[in-house]
Amino acid sequence: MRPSSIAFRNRRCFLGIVVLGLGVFSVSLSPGLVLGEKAAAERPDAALKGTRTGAPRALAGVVLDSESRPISGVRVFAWNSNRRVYAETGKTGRFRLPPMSGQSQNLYAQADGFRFRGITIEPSDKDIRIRLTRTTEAPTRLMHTLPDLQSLKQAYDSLSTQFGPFAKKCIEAAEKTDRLRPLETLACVEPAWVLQYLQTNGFENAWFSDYVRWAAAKALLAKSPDDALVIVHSLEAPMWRSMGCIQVAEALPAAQQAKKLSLLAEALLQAQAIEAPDKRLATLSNIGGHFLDLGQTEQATGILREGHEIAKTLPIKEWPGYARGCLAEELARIDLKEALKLVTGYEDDFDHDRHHGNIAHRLAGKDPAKAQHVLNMMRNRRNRNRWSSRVCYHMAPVDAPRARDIASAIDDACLRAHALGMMALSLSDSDKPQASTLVREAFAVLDGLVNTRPVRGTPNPQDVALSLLPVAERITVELVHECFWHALSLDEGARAVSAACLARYDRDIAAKCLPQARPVNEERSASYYIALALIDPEACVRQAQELPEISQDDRKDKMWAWTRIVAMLRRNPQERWEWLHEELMNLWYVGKEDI
Amino acid sequence: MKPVISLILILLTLGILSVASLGSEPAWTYEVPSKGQQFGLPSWQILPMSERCPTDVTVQVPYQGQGQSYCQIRYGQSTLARVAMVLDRASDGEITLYVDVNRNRKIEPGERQTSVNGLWNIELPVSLDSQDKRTLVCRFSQLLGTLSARAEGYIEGKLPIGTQRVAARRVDADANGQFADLADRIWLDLNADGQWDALNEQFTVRPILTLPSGRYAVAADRLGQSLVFRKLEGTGVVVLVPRVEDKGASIQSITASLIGKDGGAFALRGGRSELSIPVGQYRIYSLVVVARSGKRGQAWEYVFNYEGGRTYRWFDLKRNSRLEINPLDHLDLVAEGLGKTCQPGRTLSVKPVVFTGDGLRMNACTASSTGQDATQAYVDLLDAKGKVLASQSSGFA
Repeated sequence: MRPSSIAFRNRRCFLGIVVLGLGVFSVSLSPGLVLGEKAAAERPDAALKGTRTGAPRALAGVVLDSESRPISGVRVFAWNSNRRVYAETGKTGRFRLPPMSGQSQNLYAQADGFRFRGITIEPSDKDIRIRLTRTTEAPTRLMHTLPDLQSLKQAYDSLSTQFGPFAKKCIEAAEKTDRLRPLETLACVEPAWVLQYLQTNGFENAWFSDYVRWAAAKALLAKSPDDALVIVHSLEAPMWRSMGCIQVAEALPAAQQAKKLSLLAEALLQAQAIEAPDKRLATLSNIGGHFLDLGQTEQATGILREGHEIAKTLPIKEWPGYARGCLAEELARIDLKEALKLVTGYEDDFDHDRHHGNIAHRLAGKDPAKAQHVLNMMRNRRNRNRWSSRVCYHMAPVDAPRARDIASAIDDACLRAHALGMMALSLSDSDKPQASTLVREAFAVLDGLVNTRPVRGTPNPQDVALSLLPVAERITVELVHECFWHALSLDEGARAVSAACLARYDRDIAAKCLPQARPVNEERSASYYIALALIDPEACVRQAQELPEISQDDRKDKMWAWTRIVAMLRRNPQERWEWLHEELMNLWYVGKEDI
Repeated sequence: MKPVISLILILLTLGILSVASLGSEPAWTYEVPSKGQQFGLPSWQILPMSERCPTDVTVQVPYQGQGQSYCQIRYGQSTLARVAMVLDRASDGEITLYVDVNRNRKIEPGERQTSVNGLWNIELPVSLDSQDKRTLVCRFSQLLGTLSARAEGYIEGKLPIGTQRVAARRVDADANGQFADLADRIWLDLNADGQWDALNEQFTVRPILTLPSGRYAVAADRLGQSLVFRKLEGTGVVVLVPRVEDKGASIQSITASLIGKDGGAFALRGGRSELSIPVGQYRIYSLVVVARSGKRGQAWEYVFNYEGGRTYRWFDLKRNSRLEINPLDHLDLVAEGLGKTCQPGRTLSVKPVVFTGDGLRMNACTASSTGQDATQAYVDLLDAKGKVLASQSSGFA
């Protein structure tokens, strides 16, 4: 088992770091905003139908500025048969694109000094008018994060009756560990039932029972930390109990510092009971790091020094090697020299790079020069590219030029754009003009990737662009509309991932991006149901309910769909966004520690 | 008498008195702090519930609710009967809790508990002395549908550690009325500042504790009446190796409590589990085994303890040695009373009893972890030809 599959993600809480989009959700609806998606929300099925057929037709029109004057030199384009088709406006501002299929179409216009613009045109539209506003002008349209649909909560509340019976049927019929996924999923919906069930039907290997109980505890973290803690203390293994206490502490608001410390003390006691030294070390590292986060340097130092003694006795491979690295990552915050000694000698490049990358990440906001030095110690260029984004994020507020150097050194354009976006995010409060420039720069980098072949193992350019929408919103809500359309312009295909992200701002457009055919394999199924849950939760639950369950494969597919739906519906908006990054986009987000 | 001699006598007397007062440690006392002064609050422990009433429990109260859940807990001395609890749930969410406080296996009207702020404070005896009580707090979670419990208060006293006399508190963290389980806590005011530091002065009960002044062998009794720290003179390893002759039986879990001649108690959990403990002489004090017949058969929990047991078997653990203990060897099923003759029309009382090789006697046998089906097992009395003469519930309480 690779250490990354450790039951708990080492997702640490950094005080002072602005969590992506946290403030964004509090933006209230103002009457002047354009909410095209509102109508779709009221007519979900209509929104889902879309229009995708029709005879080829030429698209022609004019591009005007905010004072209705024609603009020349504007690049107007649309997607046709998986390729971009371009036209440029002349002196009269007019353009004409070659004939394309007559379906509803997105048309985009881009010119220096103007905000990017996109519109949806219908087959009946004859002479198209596109109005551009200068970057110095306020945009005519605003977009912002939409509040949750009322039906989302209703769909969540209905899971017990919609999903519960199917899950219980699967659990009763399943053999051994096949019960794991249905139980884990049901634990988020009916924790009481699952806890009761495990009392008399626990797994032979208690680790699995703990895993399921922990799923129930996690689902309750925000709603009722006390109940989550009750479950944590019912876990069999001390490592689970210890990590559970840490997670409950992490979930508490910053104002409850005393309770956090008390939970960390409890986590420490539990950690001392872990027999395997490598598991104990990994847990101690986590606790030490949290004490550092809470400003308890003396306590943290004691714990990390204790861990250091254990780490020195462990081999530098497999799980023990991973545990050494975990300790080194936290120890680096108080003693870089000793930390680097601990991570010297990994045979595997990824193991070496992961821990060096994480150390650089932790140092970036405190000691940029040393962080860059450690980052440059990474062996594999692609690994370095991946870790650079988060180093840039932490470094930008304290040493922007160095962060920019690191971003410029990323030779994967997608990840370079992501790093620029992350820099923009960290500067979004302190230096909005600079942050805006960085976002536009990131989009320019992504523009350059259109019509190029995708590189295996790198993120999708559109995913990167979509991940930057909340960044734009955090800088200024005026930036969102242009970034939204700009992101949309980067790909033609109906992608469920895009639909899931776009649904944050416009469910109508998101619905049109959703593939029309129901997915047939697990991978597509995941993104389809995730997106549908955000666009039309009611339809999502209904469609999952209608999935066949005749064969074992049917039931497996249906369970898979439900797993994604439950995971989506039970989360709060911020968690959902992070989860999209985690599950579908493979991109780092603020708060995520390890890759 | 000359004044000098009188003075010497007085001084001698005072000296003797002061030496005497040093030698006798004040008793450990149980304290329940007032509200707002709570100390080292242990976490809630979920109590396993069942919809079925244990068959040997009589209910003498009229239920108000539409559904009832039952649980039984062991609390205090392991020889005491279990404490039955009933949750009476009304459709409006109101919960009534009954607790068989006097352990007479009857749920009586006077055993209805009153809740304050959603918590029930229940005083339960922990030994045969009915005045020796501790407070157990219960809480029902609507979200989880579970009843949880935690022990209130702590045992307080002082003990010598090295050259120091240290104030100590013991907390029953797993809410079973005992203080020597691995989850239980020992707090030591090591810097004598009158404060209790959760990070540096709180320890889980372990046979060996490392303190700033050195490593100590810890002898902690189960009921919280004695706690001794001795400089560690050497350790050995004890390993639990449970083996049963019945190949069809599989052991799901096993917990053995060891007790040393110095009174220290340690728990060993799980097959092949190892524990490094101070050298000395030990015996098994109690044993809880959950075993299944086959892999998917019904799980049964068997509780063995010294109540009514035979002569103990002592194990000598030497320095740096490894001691393997099979607590299930030489199981002996005895039908007490079977040797007697019986006249026609008279009752023949036969009591089946199981002993372990360590002299422990099986005193409880329950199906599943909820312990609801205590008397669902039956014992058949057969004649020499295999004909069933009589059938009776197991007799294990």
